[in-house]
Amino acid sequence: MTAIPATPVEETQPIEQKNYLNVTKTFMSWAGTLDHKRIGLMYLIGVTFAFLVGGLFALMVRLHLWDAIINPDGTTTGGIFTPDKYNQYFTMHGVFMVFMFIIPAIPASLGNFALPLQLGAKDVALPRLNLLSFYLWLAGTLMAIASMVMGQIDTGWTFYTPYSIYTNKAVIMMGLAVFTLGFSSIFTGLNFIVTVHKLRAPGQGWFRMPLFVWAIYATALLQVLATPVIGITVLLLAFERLYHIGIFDPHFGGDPVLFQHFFWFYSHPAVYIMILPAMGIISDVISVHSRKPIFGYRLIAFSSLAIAIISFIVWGHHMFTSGQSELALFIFSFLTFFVALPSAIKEFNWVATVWKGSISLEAPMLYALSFLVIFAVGGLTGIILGALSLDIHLHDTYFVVAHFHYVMMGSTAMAFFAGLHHWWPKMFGVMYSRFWSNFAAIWIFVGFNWTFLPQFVMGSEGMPRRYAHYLKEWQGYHQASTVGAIIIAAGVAMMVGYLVMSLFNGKKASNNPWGGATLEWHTATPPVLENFETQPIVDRDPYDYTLVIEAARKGEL
Amino acid sequence: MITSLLTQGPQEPQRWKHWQLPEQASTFADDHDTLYTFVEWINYIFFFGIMFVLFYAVIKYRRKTPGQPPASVITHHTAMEVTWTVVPLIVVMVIFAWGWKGYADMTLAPADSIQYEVKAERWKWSFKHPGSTEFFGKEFWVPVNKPCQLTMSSTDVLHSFFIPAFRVKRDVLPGRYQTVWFQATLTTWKENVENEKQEGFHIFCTEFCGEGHSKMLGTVHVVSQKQWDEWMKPGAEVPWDPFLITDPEDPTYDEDREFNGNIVYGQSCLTCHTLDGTRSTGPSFKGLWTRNIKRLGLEGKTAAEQEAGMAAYITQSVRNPNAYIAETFDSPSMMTPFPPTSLNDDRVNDMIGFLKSEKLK
Repeated sequence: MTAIPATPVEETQPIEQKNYLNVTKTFMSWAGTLDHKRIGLMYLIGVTFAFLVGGLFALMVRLHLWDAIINPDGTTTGGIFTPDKYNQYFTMHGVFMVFMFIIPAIPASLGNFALPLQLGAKDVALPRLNLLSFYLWLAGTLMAIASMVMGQIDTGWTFYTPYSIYTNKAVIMMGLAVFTLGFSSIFTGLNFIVTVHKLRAPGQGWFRMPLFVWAIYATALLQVLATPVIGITVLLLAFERLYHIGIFDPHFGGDPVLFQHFFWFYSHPAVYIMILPAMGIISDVISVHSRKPIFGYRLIAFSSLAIAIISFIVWGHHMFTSGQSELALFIFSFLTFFVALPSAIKEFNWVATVWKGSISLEAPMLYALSFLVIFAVGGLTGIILGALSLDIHLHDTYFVVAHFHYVMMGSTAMAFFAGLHHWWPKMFGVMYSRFWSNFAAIWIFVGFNWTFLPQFVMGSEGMPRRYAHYLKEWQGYHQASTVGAIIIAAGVAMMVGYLVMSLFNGKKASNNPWGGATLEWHTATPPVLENFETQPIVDRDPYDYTLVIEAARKGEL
Repeated sequence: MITSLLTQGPQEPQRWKHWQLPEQASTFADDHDTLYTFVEWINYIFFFGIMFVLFYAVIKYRRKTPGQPPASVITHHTAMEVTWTVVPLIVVMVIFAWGWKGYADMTLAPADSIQYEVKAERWKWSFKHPGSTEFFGKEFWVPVNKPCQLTMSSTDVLHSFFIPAFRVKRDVLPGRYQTVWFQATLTTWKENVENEKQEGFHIFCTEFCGEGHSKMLGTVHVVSQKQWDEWMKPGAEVPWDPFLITDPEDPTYDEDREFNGNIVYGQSCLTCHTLDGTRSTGPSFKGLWTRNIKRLGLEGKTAAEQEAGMAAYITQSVRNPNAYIAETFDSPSMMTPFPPTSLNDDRVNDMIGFLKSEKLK
């Protein structure tokens, strides 16, 4: 895309070329680093840890549900854990996955690594703040683990009052963990907004930014504007527990539904904090691996912003049965369908990008194609839930569980995997096994659908969520779902295995293994500490593959 | 009225059933399921349409040689993009309007609805039937083809009242009344059948409420108009008032108390207290009497003194569970207190009679 002079890195440097990974080697040079790439890697390790812990809890939940039956007379059989333990495990699954994995996963790890590179910048605008937000993430995670040790929590990740006021578990500790993680998220968002505004390379106007940057930018706006609300909400909850200030507790004149309004005022935008960066990755990966300009660049960029704005005014659709006024329901349902549109537009544009491309079926593209399939299911089932009369029946059933796993796990995590495989060679300078990566991508796709498709069916049949025991008639679906969860776990283990192996015996990656046109592919692999030898200048669109196609034709790529 | 009596058999056939939705047992179900099917088919069309194009493209345009250029470098197509913005917009607006209309029908109960009160507490539903003064646990009875309105509130945390067969759901909140209404269309109640468990429609709690959340099951029975009219006659024997009238002068007084206590146990205590000595959320009722006689130092006393002491303890535990917490159980207690409005003194005395019975002692 650019007229960067072909960096003479490989010709002039000695074999052991200096890059951001090996330029310094002490522990403190990592723990105190201000380099966005190193901070990104530390985040990557952290969020992967959170994903594995959250996944372990999910596996325990699914194994318990293999045969946890309740008979119509109220007696129960089967199941591994007591209902109390079960409640704690699904809560920990939700808390780890939402607050410690999905929200920071893409922006803080891959975003930190790729955003300054894509902007042609040396670093983010506020490197110290960047390091601080990593340590806040770490502190928040340690506090969450402390609350686990101090006696668990059993409220679900939603902390609904008044249950969370009365339960004798460590809710305040977990609330403070969420509060701290929230600040980590705000600082990351703030940092990226400033970086996008101030550090774009010469020639890189707003419409020459890669769509990943647009998506991270829209996400950052949400992080900065929405996250304070959850911070205030968990503080109020802590005050309610400690001093009975009477804001949520009906015994003291409070309103428990007010908590839901506050909670979803953050947590609905948070859904888009989770999915928008994923959409950004997909735009980049689909275009690069189809070697074709992204179809409808401006429409995709604007739909990211549209999602960010509309997502602030649809929170009430999580509360269709909670007793809001009919007028409120009318408005929330109406607006909900509007937030569906930009997502639909993106899906169409991605498919149009693939059409008539030159499609390489490497692991990043396989994960991106998985995303397109799974996101279509997640989005279309969202249409069912947006319709008021249908949501009355489906609310808080497994249908909702399946729907948001299709969007959060199936879409965001698949996009995270796509991005991880896309930028892995750039991060570490090595290629992972082509066979195993393709195999695992297909394996995880199968396992995912195996797990969550049955949940749609039992949900529409009426199976409520968060049940430690279920009626016998749903056992077949639950068992299928448990088998699927084991398949996913095996797939993830496979992925971790071949990625770690590649660090030791992976083939050396070239500077531009996929034929990307954005700036990160125009520097050394792995990049040098300052990212670029000279300041890159942007003189064409981010998805202009003219030079790549030419180079590929000559066999020079 | 007379026509409907003649045409309503004991078990009307359903008009249709969607394979992944429960049976249609209320007037809301038909519109709900029709809309569900409508959206479902629109979804199939969009999903398979998108997938067909996507996978056709992936197969046809996959890169066979490393240097293969893309077949086109088109960057956008305004007409097409406007089309796939406007067409989905129209479709979702139709779905929105239909969903809203279906919901609006569910909001306002007809003026002649039969009125019930519903109380939710951890972890039990109880129902006050028309003409009754007491709440009855776990089950309730409604006439077929008559609108029924439930006025609901919770005594502790959030719950949510869900009958899948009726397609209704409403959160039940502490400190606020919520209403829900429906008109059942299928009868489930078999008349003149005794000593057989009657299968009605399931009631679930769908808002997480703690340890017993998944055990908070209930049943709604739909009865014929004829049966309902019989039950509505003054003095009729009704299933939601099964308690015997107890009289200390009566020679069967103790047995009557035990009989009543057994029903109270099934309605209010069973979720957390077992009768066979195994530990559950709360201590087992097996041996409770003997244990506490010892604990309270009543062993040497007369039977009347023992009973008075135990009655005081049991009443206190029902009204204020935190006053004494059995050894090895957590403080504060998980148990919801039962004030007299929820379990009157007569029912507590039934419970005392039940706990002192030989089989539990």
